[in-house]
Amino acid sequence: MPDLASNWTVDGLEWRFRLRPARFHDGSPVRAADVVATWRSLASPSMRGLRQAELEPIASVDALDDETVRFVLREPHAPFLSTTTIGIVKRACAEDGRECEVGNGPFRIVSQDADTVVLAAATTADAPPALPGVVLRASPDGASRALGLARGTIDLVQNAVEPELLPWLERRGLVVDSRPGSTFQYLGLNLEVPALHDPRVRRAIAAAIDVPAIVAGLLAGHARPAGELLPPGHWAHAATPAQAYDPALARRLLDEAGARGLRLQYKTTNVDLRRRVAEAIAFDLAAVGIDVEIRPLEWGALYGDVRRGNFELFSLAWVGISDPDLYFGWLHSSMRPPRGNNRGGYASAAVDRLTTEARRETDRGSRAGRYRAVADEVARDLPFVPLWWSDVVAVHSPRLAGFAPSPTGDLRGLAAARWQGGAPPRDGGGS
Amino acid sequence: MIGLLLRRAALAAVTACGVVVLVSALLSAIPGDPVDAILGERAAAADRDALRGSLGLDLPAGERMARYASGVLRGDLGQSLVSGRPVADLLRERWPATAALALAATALAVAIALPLGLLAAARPGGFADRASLGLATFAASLPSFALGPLLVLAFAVRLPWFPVAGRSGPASLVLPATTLALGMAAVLARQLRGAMIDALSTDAIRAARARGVPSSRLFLVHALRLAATPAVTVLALQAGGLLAGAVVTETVFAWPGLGRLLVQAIGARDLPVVQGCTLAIALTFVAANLVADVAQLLLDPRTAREPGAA
Amino acid sequence: MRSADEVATPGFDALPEDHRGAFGSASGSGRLAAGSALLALLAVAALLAPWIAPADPLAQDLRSTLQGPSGAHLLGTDALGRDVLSRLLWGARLSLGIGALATAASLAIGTAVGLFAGYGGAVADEVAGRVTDVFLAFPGLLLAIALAAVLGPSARNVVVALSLMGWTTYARLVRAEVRAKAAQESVRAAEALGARPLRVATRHLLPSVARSLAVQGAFGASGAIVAEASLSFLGLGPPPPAPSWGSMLAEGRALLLAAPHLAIAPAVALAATVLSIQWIADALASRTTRATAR
Repeated sequence: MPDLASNWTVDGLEWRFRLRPARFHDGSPVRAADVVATWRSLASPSMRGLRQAELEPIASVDALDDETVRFVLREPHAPFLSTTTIGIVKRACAEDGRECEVGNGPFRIVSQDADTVVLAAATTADAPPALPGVVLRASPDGASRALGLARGTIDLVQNAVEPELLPWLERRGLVVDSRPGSTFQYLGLNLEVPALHDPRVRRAIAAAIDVPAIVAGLLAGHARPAGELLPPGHWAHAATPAQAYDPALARRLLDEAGARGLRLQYKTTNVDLRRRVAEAIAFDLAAVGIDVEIRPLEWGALYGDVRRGNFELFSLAWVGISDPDLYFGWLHSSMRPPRGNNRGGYASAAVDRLTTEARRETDRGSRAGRYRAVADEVARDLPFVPLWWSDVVAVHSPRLAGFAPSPTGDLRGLAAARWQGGAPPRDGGGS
Repeated sequence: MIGLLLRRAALAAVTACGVVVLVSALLSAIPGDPVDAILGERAAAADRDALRGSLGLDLPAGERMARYASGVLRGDLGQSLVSGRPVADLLRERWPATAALALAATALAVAIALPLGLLAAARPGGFADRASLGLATFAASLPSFALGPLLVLAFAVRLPWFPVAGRSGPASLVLPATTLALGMAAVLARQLRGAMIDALSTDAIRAARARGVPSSRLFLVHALRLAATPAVTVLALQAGGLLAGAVVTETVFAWPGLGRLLVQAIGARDLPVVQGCTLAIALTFVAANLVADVAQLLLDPRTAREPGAA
Repeated sequence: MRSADEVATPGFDALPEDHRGAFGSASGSGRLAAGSALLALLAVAALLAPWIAPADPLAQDLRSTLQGPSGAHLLGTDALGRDVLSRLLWGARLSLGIGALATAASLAIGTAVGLFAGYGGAVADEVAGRVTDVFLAFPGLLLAIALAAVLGPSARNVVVALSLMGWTTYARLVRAEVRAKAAQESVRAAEALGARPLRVATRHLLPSVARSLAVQGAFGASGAIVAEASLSFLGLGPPPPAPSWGSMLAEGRALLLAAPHLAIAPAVALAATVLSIQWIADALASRTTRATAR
C-alpha cells in the first residue's frame, strides 16, 4: 500500500487512503474496488488463517470512489498501517478466490511451477526495471547454490549461503554484499519448565552463551549481537545492551537457584547451520553445568512443537520485524497459543498493560516510550534470550549492479538492479 | 511348473501380508505413548484425541492393523500429519524421481558389469579380472554416502561437469546414478564372471567345443545363455534393493524421491508417511523377488525340478 | 521368496554398498594378515582413544574453525573448531562398538531362530521361515531406518535396530547346517540315548556351525558398521555432538567446497575399517571352503 497510496488520513477509527495512478500488468488501472476486493478475499474462508490476526481489528473496508479506500477499525489500532503492505490483485480474480497472476508490481509473472517462477519486467510500471526479467528458482541444496554462483548459472543468492562458503565464493570473484538486517534470532524458553521458571536460571543461560564468538566463528561476523527484539534504527529501539558473556556469573546464578546439573532438551531445525549453532550453544551451556540434549527436527515439526508449547529450549528467528506490536502477540499473558505467540507462557502485569496501551495509542512518540519500557521489562525478566540480528547477505555476480539487499531479506532491490556491460545470455535468480 | 509358479506367488503374497503387519506394528514400537512422542505432553486434549483417532490408537492393536491392512488394499495409506495430504498422493508424486534414478542406475550397472564380467571370465587373472575385483573392493568399502561426496568433489567441483545435487535435467542424474550403480556393477560383474566360468566347464559347452563351434561363438552365445540366468536373478534382486539404497543416495544428492521423502518424514515425525514409504519400498522389493523367481523358473527350467522353496 | 539353500539375500547383503563374496577368488593368507593388522590397529585406536586422541573430541574453538591439516591439528578442524583426528578416533569407538554389539545380538537372535527352525520340527520350520521371509522383504537398511525412526535417535536404539535387521542371515545359515547335521548318526545316537533337545542343539549341532557362523559374522560386522554410519549420516544415529563417522560425513558434505578434508577423513576411516574386515572374512571363507572340500 505505501507504494500505491499517495497519502492517507486518520480520523478516529477511520482510515482513508488515496490511490495514486497505477496499472495492472494487463494495462487496466488499479481502482479502489480492486483493493477492497483483495482485502475482502483475505477474510474469505478459503484464505483463512493466513493473516487472521491482522484482520481482526478491521471492522469494514469499502471504496468511496475509484481512488479512495476507507477502512473502519473496531478499536484504535496503531499497528494497522504496517499491515497494509499486501499485494493488490484484480477485483475479478480476488472475488473468484483463484490464484491471481496479474499484479501491479515492477515484474510480471510469465510462468510458474513447483520450483521455478519466471518474471519479466512489467512495461506497465511507472519506472520499468532495468533487468529484462528474473528467474526465481528453488534450490534446496546449499552446496548446489554455492557452486551455481561460482559457475555463473545463478546470479544472485540471498541469505542462503553457508557463511563458511563466503570466503570461497569471494575468491571466485563473486560479490558478497552484507547489510544489517532486522531478522531476530533468539533462544525460546519454556517458562513452565520448573527450572526455567526461575529468572536467575534464565539469566544464567543468557550469560553463559558467548554470542560474539558464535557470530564471529559460525556466521562469519554477519550478525549483530542483540539485547532486545527491535533492531537499531527502528523507531522504538530501546538500545538495551546485549547480555555480556560471563560464565562465572552464570555458574553463580545457577548455584543460587540450586539448578546445577540441569538437563534441558534443545529443539532446532536440522539445517546444518542451525544445528551447528545449537552445538555451540550447548557447548557453552555445558561449560556452566547445564547438560543440553540437541534434537534436530524438520522445520514443520519444530514449528508445530513450538506452537504447541512442546519444548524446553528452541531457537527460531523472527523474520521481517516492522511494527513493535509484535510484543503484544509474544508476551501478553492472553496470547498463549493457539491465540498468539506467547509460547513460553510468560505473564507480567507490567508488560500486559504496556503492550495493550501501546497498540491503542496512535502517537508514535508515546508508543515508542511504552515499547522501550517493555524492552526494559524483557531485559530484566528474559522470557526469551535475545541472540542476534542476522545481516542480510546477498552473494551475486560481479556484473549485477545496483542491487541493494533490503533489511527484511525480500527481493525488492531487483527492481533497481541492472546488468553491467549488457545482459548475460540467460537470466538467473535466487532465493 | 505352473504349480511351482503359483506356490512362489502365494509365498510372496504371504510375505507381503507380513510386511503390512510389521509396518502397521511400527506404531507400537514407539516407546511410551505415540501421541506424546508426536505431539508432546503439553498438547491440547482435542489435538491429542484427534491424533489418537486418526492413528487408530483408540482401537485394539489387532483391529488397528486390520484397518491399516484394509486401507492398504484400497490404496489408502492414511494422511500426512504435517501437510494433511493423503500419503498415497505423496508417494505418487515422489515415485517418478526414484524410478528414474533406479532405472538409470540399473542401466549403468549393466553397461559396466556386462563387458567387465565377460572379459574377466574370458581371461581369469587377467587385467579385466583384476579390474573387476578392484572395483568390487572399492565399491564394497565405500558406502554411497562416502562415495557420493567424493564423486561430487571430483566431477562437480574440480571438474565442473555435473550438478552437485537436485533434480534438474538428465545431467543431474549422472552422479547419483553412478553412486548407486558402482556397487551394483561390482556384484553383477563378479556374479557374471563366476557364472560364465561355471558355464564354460559344463558338458554342453565341452560337447559344442568338440563339435568345432568357434570359441567366440561358444563364449558369447552358448555360455552366456547359460550364465544369464543367475545374472538376471541377481540383477532383479539388486534392482529391488536399489530403492533402499536410494534412501541414502537421495539424501546425499537432495534427489526429490521416495527415499528423501522417508528421511524428511522421519525428521518431521510424520509417522503415516514413514509407514507409507517403508511399505512402498518393501512391497516393491517383494515384487522384485517374485520377478527374480519367475525369471529363474522360465529361463532355467532345471530349477523347477529341484526341490523348491523352503 | 527364495529359500535358504538358494542365493541368500540377507539383510546386510542387499545393501548396494555391501558385497559379500566379492573377493571369493582372492588368495588368502596375505589378506588375512593385512586385514588383521589393519583391524587391530583400528581397534587399538578405538580402545585407546581417550589416551591417544590429541584433544577432547567435543571441545570447540570458534576462533579456529575449518582449518586444514597442520601441526596443531593433524587432520584439521571442523566447522566448530573441533579437532578432526580426535573425533575420528572417538568415532572409531562408536562405530566399532555399535558394530560389534549389533553383530553379537544378531548372531544370538539368528542362532536361536535357526536352531528353532532346523531342529524344532516342520511347523516350527514353516513359522520361522515365514517370519524370516518377512524380515528379508525389507531390503538393505530399510527396516533399521524405520525402526530407528520410531525408536528415536540414540546409540542404544541403533544397536536395537541393526540387531533386528541383521539376524536373518545367521538364522538361515544355522537352520541349513542344523538340518544337515541332525540327520547324522552321532546326533541320532545322542537322541536315542535320551539327550534333551536343547542339549543336543548346543552340544552336537552348534559347534559344527560355529566356523561358518564366524565367517558370516565377520561379513555381518562390516555390514553393521556401514549401516551404523548410514543411520548416523541420515541423522538417526547418536544425536549431536557425538562424533560418529556417519554424522561427520553428513557435516562434511555441506562444506565440501570450503573444507573437503571434513568428508574425506571419515570416508577413508570407514573404508579402511570395512576393507580390513572384508579381507579377514574373505580369508576365513576360503579356508572354510577348503576345509569343507577336504
